[in-house]
This record gives sequence, structure tokens and C-alpha cells, in this order.
Amino acid sequence: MTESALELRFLSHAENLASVRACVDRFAASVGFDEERRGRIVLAVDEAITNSIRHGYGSRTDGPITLRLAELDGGGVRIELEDEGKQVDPGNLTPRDLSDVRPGGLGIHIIRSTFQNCRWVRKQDTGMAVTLELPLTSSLKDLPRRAP
Amino acid sequence: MPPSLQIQTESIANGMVLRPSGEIDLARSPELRLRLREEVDALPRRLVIDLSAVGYMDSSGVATLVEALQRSKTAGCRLILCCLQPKVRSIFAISRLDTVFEIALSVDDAKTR
Repeated sequence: MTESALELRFLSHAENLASVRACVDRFAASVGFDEERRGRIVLAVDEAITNSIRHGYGSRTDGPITLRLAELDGGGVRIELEDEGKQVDPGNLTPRDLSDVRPGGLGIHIIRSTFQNCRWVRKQDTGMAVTLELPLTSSLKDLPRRAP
Repeated sequence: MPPSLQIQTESIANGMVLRPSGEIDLARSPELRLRLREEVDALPRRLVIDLSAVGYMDSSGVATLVEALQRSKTAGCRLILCCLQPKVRSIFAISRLDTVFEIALSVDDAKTR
């Protein structure tokens, strides 16, 4: 049983990203994440929504997106993102080789390096559902090196 | 009408300093991309991108900088980033691009190195 749920429904317009980021940041703070991990969570959720906008909806601005935030038992966050756009094979959602320096393609890497559990599922009729979980006690998999 | 990306510019002896401000995400990165293309196409010897006023950047923003870096190399222009805030520095580290870009700690350092 999870507690403290928040549900956001918005359209696939990139102008909505800033508002959604602010909500995610506040929710992550309310369940106890420190600033560094909040920053990573916000970024990763932003990337997931951006993928929905660009790849799910082909950058259309009228596609519905639902974001649910809940606190995990024992602390942490579960984030569920759903759209009604184009479906992809979850097996194809793998991070690319970072040594290949080129624009784009970083979203999946950022998401997988932030959350302990990530799952992409094709919904029954159309669209994708993404579930991301990060327990409060877990450490980030890919902590950035601190500047000297 | 949503606000456009604010970008200040400063001419320097051997090129240009660009200073975008705000959060660079999918909504704002196209504007940055266009502006960077214009600046690189003007063939400065040095293009400094001062990110001190950028509080957030996602991978779409990073992609615009990667594209600018590639174009600058073709154009014979030295592209230098400077003054990265912690959240922006973080995404460069996550994506292993902190060793690909030339990153200075200050504008003065970026202008003269």
C-alpha cells in the first residue's frame, strides 16, 4: 500500500515541462530526498515525459499524459507515466554507447541511472506506461563526479 | 505567448560570448539551437557559452551544445563552456560529456585560455 499520491494530467506541450518539474521536485522533497537526488529525479522524469512528447506523440501538443507520484512503503518514490501515443517494444529501450558523442539519445541512460527499478509496458490499446521507483535508502547508480 | 529564451551576447577580441538564461528543456532548446547555429556560422575564432544563468538543462539542451561543438570543429571555431551550475554540471557528468567539452570555471578564463 502506497501513501501520499499526486496525479497530474497535462497535454504533450513542452511548455508544460517546467510546471511538472516543479511539482515533482516538491513531491520528492516531501518524501525526504536530498537536493542532489531530487535534481536527478526531476531530470529523469523530465526525460521520460520528453520521450513521450517526441516519440510517443511525434511532438504533437495535444496528446494526454498522466503522471502519478506516490510514496513507497519504507520511503522513496514511485512514479507512473502514461500516454496514449505510439507504442514501442520495451526491449528496444536500451541506453546507447556514451562514447559515441552525438546529439540525442541520452534519455534512457539518464532514467536508468537514476531509478532503482524501471519498467516500460505497452498498454492494451495504445500508448505506453512507465513505472519508475527509487527507495529513499538507495544510492544513485551513477553519481556525478563533484567539481574540484 | 510563452517567454522566449533570453540570450545576452558580448563581443570579445577573438569571438563572442553567449549568455543564455533560464531553464533549457525541450521547450527552450530549439531557440538555443538556432542561435548557436547562427553564431557558429558567423565563424568566430572563439565562442564562449556562459551558463551561469542556466539553472537547469535536460538532454535536449545538451544535444544542442553537442551539435554546436561538432559544427564549431568543422568551422575551425573553439567552443568553450563556462560557469556551469551544479545541476547542469551533473548532466554533463552523467552523460560523460564533461571530458568532451572544454569547460572553464569563469568567463575570464574562457576568454583567455
